[in-house]
Amino acid sequence: MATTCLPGRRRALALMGGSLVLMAGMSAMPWATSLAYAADAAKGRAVPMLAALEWNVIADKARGQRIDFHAWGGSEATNAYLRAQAEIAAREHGIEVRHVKIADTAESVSTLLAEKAAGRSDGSIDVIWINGENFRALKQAELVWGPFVERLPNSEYLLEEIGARDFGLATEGMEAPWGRAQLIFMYDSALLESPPRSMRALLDVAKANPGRVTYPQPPSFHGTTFLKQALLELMPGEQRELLAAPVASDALFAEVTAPLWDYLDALHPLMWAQGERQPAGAEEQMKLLAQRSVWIALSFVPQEVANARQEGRLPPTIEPYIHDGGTLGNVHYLAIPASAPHKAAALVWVNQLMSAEAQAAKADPSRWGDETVLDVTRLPAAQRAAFDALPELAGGMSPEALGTPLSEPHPSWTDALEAEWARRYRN
Amino acid sequence: MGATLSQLTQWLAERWRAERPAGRLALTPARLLRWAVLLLLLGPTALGLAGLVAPALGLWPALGFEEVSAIAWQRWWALPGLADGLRLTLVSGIGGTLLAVLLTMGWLAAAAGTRFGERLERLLAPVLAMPHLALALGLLWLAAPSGVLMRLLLAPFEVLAPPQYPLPDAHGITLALGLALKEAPFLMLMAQTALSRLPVTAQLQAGQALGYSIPQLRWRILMPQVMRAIALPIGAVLAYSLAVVDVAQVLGPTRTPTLAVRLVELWRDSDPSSRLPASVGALLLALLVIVVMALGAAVGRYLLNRHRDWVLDNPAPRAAARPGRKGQRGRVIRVLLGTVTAVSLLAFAVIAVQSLARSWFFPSLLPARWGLESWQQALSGLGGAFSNSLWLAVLVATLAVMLSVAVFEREREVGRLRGFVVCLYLPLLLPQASFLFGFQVGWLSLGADPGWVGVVIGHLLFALPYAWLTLAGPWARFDVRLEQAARLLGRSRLEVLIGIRLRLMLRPLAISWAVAFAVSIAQYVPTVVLGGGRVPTLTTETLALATGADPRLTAVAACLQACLPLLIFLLARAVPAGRALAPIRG
Repeated sequence: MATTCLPGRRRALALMGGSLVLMAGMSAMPWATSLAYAADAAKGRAVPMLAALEWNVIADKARGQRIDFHAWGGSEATNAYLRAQAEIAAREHGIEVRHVKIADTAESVSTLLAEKAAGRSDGSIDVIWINGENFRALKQAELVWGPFVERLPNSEYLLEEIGARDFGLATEGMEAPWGRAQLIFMYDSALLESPPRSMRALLDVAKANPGRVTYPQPPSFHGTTFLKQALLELMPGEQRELLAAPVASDALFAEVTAPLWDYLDALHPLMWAQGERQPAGAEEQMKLLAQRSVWIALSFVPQEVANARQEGRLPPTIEPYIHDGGTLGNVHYLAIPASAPHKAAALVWVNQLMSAEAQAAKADPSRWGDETVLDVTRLPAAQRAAFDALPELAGGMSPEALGTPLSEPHPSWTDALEAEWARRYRN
Repeated sequence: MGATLSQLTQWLAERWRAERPAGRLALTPARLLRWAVLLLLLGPTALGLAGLVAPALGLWPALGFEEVSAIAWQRWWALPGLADGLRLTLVSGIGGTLLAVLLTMGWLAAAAGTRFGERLERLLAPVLAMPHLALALGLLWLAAPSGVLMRLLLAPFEVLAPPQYPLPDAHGITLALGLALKEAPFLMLMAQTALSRLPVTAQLQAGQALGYSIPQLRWRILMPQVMRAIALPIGAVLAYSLAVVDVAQVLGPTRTPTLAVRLVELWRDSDPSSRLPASVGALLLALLVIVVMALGAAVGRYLLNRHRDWVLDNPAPRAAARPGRKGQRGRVIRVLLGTVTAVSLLAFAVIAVQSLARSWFFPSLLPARWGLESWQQALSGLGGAFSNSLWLAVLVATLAVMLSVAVFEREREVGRLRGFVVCLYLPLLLPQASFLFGFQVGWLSLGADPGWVGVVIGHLLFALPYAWLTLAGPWARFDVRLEQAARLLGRSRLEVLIGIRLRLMLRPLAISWAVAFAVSIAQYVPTVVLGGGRVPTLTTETLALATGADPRLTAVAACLQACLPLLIFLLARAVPAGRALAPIRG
């Protein structure tokens, strides 16, 4: 068990390191570094035997299988969408999909680790909705299966520059892009005349209205994102490229992040609940925003405000905005665990969720509002029409307003930021 | 832990030798049952413990930690904010338990058995049935700055945004209050059950004949008897309060959380190796719980002894001497109890209203729009979860009560089964997430699949101790002379058990069943971990929904989650209490 694990981690690290060298010169591009990672995929591991089969053979094998799909179940919009997709899967592909609604993806990671520790090759998870640190944990423990993404028929229309790296870690075709996320902020227009379009402006709002600003507590996903966004905005622009490489030394980290800690030292005493409590996540902060306890919130779903206003989760006075220098963007994925017992059906399900029909339904702000991973301009006309017909709701964000997303820093920065935040503010 | 384990093995070995004096092992049904119970309890507990001890020693082969090292301990002690976390844990855990006990004593002193007390009990049934998390959310929606109480106060004024005050506070006081509100009804139920086993009327009559007032007698005679009888449930409340996670996340501070919350955070950290220090923390927290429980038991015994001395040394002044003050004290207690009940019920009401709201924002006192959409949405997805929860809880509660009865019967033959009781309590003492992980690994290693069987065992681990401790007091106080008489009249042991004891103890049995039922309904971690997500229940769905941004769906799920146990509690209360059970005259 452990003998297969250690070299695996080394290999992953080597790949990461190698690709970073390639990456260094091209950090300006959004969804950057696809070329570097395409190279990784090419020299990476071989396509598993099952994924190498003809697609209709896979589809035949899949028929009649039942899969367990582990996906966060905190949003009824998401749950309803998945129910509808599961019906389609049953009707068109003859597979049964069970949506296992989890509260935290770390639970599923735990399950996979336990199955591995128990020496089981047949696990209880067939497909998992994942990204970032959880994917890194699975990849390091050699718990993901693949590469398979290029074997999926619907991968043909994927955005060119998408899905090569997940929070700085090469995906190597081991997880399929499912949706695009970009950090947005939202404010209550009944309470603030104009939104603070930068971290500095946010501090001014906090000074003028003590107790009305907060951010989710790191190391929660959105809390750490807030730290990274603040760091990107507050550090001198010419230092940004340092973030693409691993943290070189403690001294460098201290120097680069000094402006961030100065900023937080100033912000924390002015925060909601004097900073003694911070929301557990973006969702909790949105609930506080809805009740006007705090006046700013954030989300990774650009159409979240439109969807929430329509559903009555947020009052109609809430408006979305982003910061002037742009905001962080990333992709979320579907992965197949190495121990998945029904890989054929898992492939069919992932392929279905990447289809134009499924992606268009998901992008509908009145249903979910998640940005598609497909290149709509390349789609056949009939399928493009579904995207063109998407409604525009009040409170939505147009692609123009979103602008170009900023790249996620290398994961070692994330770890270091979380550790330093805990050291400074947990005492 | 090690000591406990070696004690257990020793005890097991002794039992084993005792089992086969003639060198021959006859498999009687009773013996089979006994071993099944032991395996059921010992197996998971041992596996769970191993799953904690190994990572605490720095062993986790699947993650590349293959040699014993101190790394787990080093990383644990390097964590910032441990001292604050410890302080918070103690304040909220001990404070919450103490408050709940005081409320129960107040209820005994001024309300139990009166018409007021009965009304209180009926009103508190929903609180008893409500899962901890739901009550915590209800309290928050009620009392937070943007909560309903504040809206009521601010209604005459033109306010745009809610005021600011620290609730939940940074010192664990809100958390202690929330825990006390939830646990007090449980202790009152236990006290009620204990009271129903006491010759209350006879004692009161005797005391009155000696010139004591009823309030004096309640305080001097009934209170200490009941407190002794509910020592175990109080211990369970203490253990729960010190290790609680979900309520602490809602009502406690987050910047520096309680130790239990810290453990779960580590356990869920995206860096899997954080589970090493988490295991150390889990063991230390279990140790803390054991120490605090032992101290609590000692203090409780000391106080009760002092109380007894006081009662013996101070023959009370005649009731007629100072009627005014006594009456007033009773009134104060009743007002306090009434307030507590009202707050809990309001919290319940807020949840119900929230579930029926379409849009409800500050500063509206009531929702701007109402609708059943949340219920429709939830029910379309929760049908399977509802029936899973129901059948699981019925099965678990029945097994738990049957096993408890079997153990009690066995104890009457061989005396106190100490090792057994330790096993019984371990799952309550060890933090669930980490404990169950070890069990999960062991369970999977045995070749078993995640699913129903694992979930039933997992639920049973936590429901059985509650069924057992709810039943222990009434069982011990049963008048054995009734059974002796029946045996003398030639009835078999089984006939006596079923025809006399179980029949007369129908009400305690029903309440024990209801408590086990409620415990099963509320289980989250065992359901997810051992079911591999394949057994969705109301609780797993509620928690998943609670992590989202829609409080209305959370409210619906909380209502659904509360309604099953509520129904069961109401039914259990309707079961008639047995008659003529205790040695009243003589």
